[in-house]
Amino acid sequence: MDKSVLMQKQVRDNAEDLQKEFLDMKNWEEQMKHKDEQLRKEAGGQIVLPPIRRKHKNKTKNAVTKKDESNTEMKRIKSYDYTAWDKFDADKACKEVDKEEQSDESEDERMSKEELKRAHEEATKHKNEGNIFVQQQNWSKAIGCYNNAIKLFPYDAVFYANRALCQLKLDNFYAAESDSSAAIQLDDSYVKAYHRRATARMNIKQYKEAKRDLEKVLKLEASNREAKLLLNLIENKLKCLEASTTVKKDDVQQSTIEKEGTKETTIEKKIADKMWNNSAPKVQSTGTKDIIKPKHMKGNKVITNVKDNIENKKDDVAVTNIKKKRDSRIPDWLPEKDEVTVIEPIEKPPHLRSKKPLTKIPIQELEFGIDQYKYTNDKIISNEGNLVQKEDPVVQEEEPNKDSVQIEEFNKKFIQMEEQKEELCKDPVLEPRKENNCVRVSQPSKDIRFTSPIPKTAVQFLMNWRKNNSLEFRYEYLKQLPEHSLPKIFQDSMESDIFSQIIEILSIEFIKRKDQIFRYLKDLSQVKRFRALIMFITNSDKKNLKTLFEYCKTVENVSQDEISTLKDKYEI
Amino acid sequence: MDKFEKPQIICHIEKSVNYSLFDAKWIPCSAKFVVMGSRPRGSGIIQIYEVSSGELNLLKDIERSQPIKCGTFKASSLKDRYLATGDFQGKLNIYNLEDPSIPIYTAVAHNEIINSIDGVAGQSIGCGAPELVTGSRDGSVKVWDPRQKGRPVAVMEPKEGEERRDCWTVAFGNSYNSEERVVAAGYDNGDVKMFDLKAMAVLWESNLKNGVCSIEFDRKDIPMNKLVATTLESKFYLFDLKTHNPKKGFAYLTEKAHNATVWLVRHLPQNREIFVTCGGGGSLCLWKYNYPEKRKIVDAEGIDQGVVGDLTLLQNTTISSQPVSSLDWSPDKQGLAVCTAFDQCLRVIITTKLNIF
Repeated sequence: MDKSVLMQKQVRDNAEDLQKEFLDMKNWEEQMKHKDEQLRKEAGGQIVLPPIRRKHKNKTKNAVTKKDESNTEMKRIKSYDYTAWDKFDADKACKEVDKEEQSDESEDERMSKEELKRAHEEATKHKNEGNIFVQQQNWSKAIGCYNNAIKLFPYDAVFYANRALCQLKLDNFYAAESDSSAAIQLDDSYVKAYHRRATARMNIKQYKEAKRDLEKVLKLEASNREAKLLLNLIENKLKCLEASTTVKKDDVQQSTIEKEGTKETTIEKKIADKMWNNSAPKVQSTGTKDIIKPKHMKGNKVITNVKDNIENKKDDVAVTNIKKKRDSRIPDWLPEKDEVTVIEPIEKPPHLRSKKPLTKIPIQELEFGIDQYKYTNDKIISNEGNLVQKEDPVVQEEEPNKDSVQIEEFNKKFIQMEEQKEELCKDPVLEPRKENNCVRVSQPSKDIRFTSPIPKTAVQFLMNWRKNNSLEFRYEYLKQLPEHSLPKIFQDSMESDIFSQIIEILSIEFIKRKDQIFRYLKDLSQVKRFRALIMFITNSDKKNLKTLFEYCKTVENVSQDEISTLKDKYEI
Repeated sequence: MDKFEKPQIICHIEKSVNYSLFDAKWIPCSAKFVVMGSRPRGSGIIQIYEVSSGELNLLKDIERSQPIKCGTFKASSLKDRYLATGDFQGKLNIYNLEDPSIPIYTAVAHNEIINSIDGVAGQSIGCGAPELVTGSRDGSVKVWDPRQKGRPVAVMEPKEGEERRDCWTVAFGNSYNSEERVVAAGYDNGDVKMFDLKAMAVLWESNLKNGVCSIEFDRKDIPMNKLVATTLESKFYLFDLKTHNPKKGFAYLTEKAHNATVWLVRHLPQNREIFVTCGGGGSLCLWKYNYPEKRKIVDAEGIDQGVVGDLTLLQNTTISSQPVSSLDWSPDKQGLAVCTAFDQCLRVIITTKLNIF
């Protein structure tokens, strides 16, 4: 009974609710209509919105600054308005400009903080991978991992120090030294980095520097036993070295030059330049470092190449200034002017000169660590560490000169070496060392061809491409590019001259050697802005392209379909 | 007796149209809504209706060349009320409904149909820039800023070579200040991914075994709280996003409903604990989420772990014989909603007694 009554009540309530709801609905509709009308009439003010996400932040910022500029232009003082200029406070204006720049920078930093954090996390992953390789003693792979880590986040000392360790294990002492230096620069209390640098420096015979590093290690960590051992070793070596200087002069020369570091080498260079400008209008320049022999060398017999000197004097403008004891070409400000010897250039009558052609030593800069170990050709010296060894024979051959016995013989060799030395002068032993660059020197040999590393960007490609104009080189360079790499390398920066050069190489060198061409054509067609390139193509290129397609069809046996689609793309 | 105290879902107006309906959206701050769909001959159509004393007045009829799959007003201010749509060809268009002949913004967003679109921060202040997100059959999810022409501001897609799954649904969330923002996406293989737009990284991903038809945060403009994902095979999942445990992930519950694909979930704008799910059989289920006593506990290892509450089914009604493809709660009136179904009918429904929760 009760239930049915309740149910009836509920049903009635529900119906009432519904009625109410409908009524409400009607009111609401009218209300909304009113509101809607009002909204439409309203011309509400602009709401300040946050900038567009990501890189486009910069764009908006630029827009703002542009506006600012236009404002300042409005306020700009006219050049003939002298009273206004009198009031103009230049210092203040300068400060303002500085301030603006500063605030801009800090903003950038703040924005990139999170990105940095993320990059660091990523880089740490690579580092951990590298550490695993280190445990497996797979040094070169570990270096690859650290390279990746450093590329992602170049501000962590640990990455550099770890890479330095791997370089040490691979006997790349120069690289190890520079890596440890980088680590120390980032963290000047990093004991391991000092220790590694000391080891590296010891191996490249920079004993004094190594000693300094070890002293620093002991300062930071007094109980470091390894460092103490190494220090003892180095001190012994230093003593030995002093004893043996008279015997092995060349070694000392080598190490002193290195020890004197970058400053002095530049001074030496300057001197050399000066002297050669004065004295050798005819003579080709020889290696700079051989000209001046610093004081450190005991028992240095003064060599006077009498014959040549006399000849030289005829030409020399500065002859009149010659004092008997000191060579005029040695400037007064040089601290060690009294015991400096000048090695004269050698003038030989043409019929006595060597008939052998001088060979060039190609020197290349490579991106550090990439494909460094790929070149197994034994004549190529694969890192700077070995450079010293390379030079040794050269210096040793000079020895007869000092004894002034076999001058003639030496002279013969000397001329041959001139060219080589010229090249060597440029190498990093004398120049301030740059990080991340590895200079490779090869001995002259005809059959060694230098292929540059595979480029990653258009800029790298263009640099290598323009370095050598020979078709041969370019052929090799193109040949080594893996498939599908062209569009990635060039992105949208392919230029029409490069484009036509590539086509030329394809049509001349590749066809001659019966190499695969089709893949290059395909890759080229996928380069961005390809259509624009095709639009500005020259007639000769068109001809080349036609022969290329013909070649693809006949020699490579590419299917007709593929060729015709590609042909369409090339608009042929 | 209880039965009668429950909210009632009543079909207020029913209107049959001569084309397939895909989506319906209320125009904010008005008694009007737009419906989007496809004509039988394969062209697209947008219609604007006004609710007026129990009837629907057709105000505007806009023909487009491509069928329109989805649309949103969420990324446009109350003043503008621009409609952003995604069509079958993968184009993203934004229309000014006052002058809809030419879209004010257009971008070739995807190679294939845009399955889902969502907007954020159009009407709320201090929640970052207004942005749109589109999910497409081509497997990519792209974020758009209407101020930047032609290019997305963020793209989330599988790496080259990886399998591209059909993205069925996308939603914004966690946009509680000008920097934080999250996009959730559901895929046909059951993957659910959450992308953090601030860090530009995947925040969380999971697989729900069945294709994810619809996904929605309970609110877009608060620190993320709850997420509901509906799947094929009559199941839906509710995740509590307050606490993330590194091992167990988010706490969640699953619920069976509709005995068919759960096509859609829509939270009530006026009460975030109440949401409706739409089923393949034309049924609507109204749910209320009850929080547990404690939202997080510390597990054995001393790490926080979320606790999920439970769901109450408030009402279950069948309003159509075909799947309900879209439903939109009116932002201005509690309990008022418009829904479209594959029986080519659009319905204005009223849910009563929602004020008592």
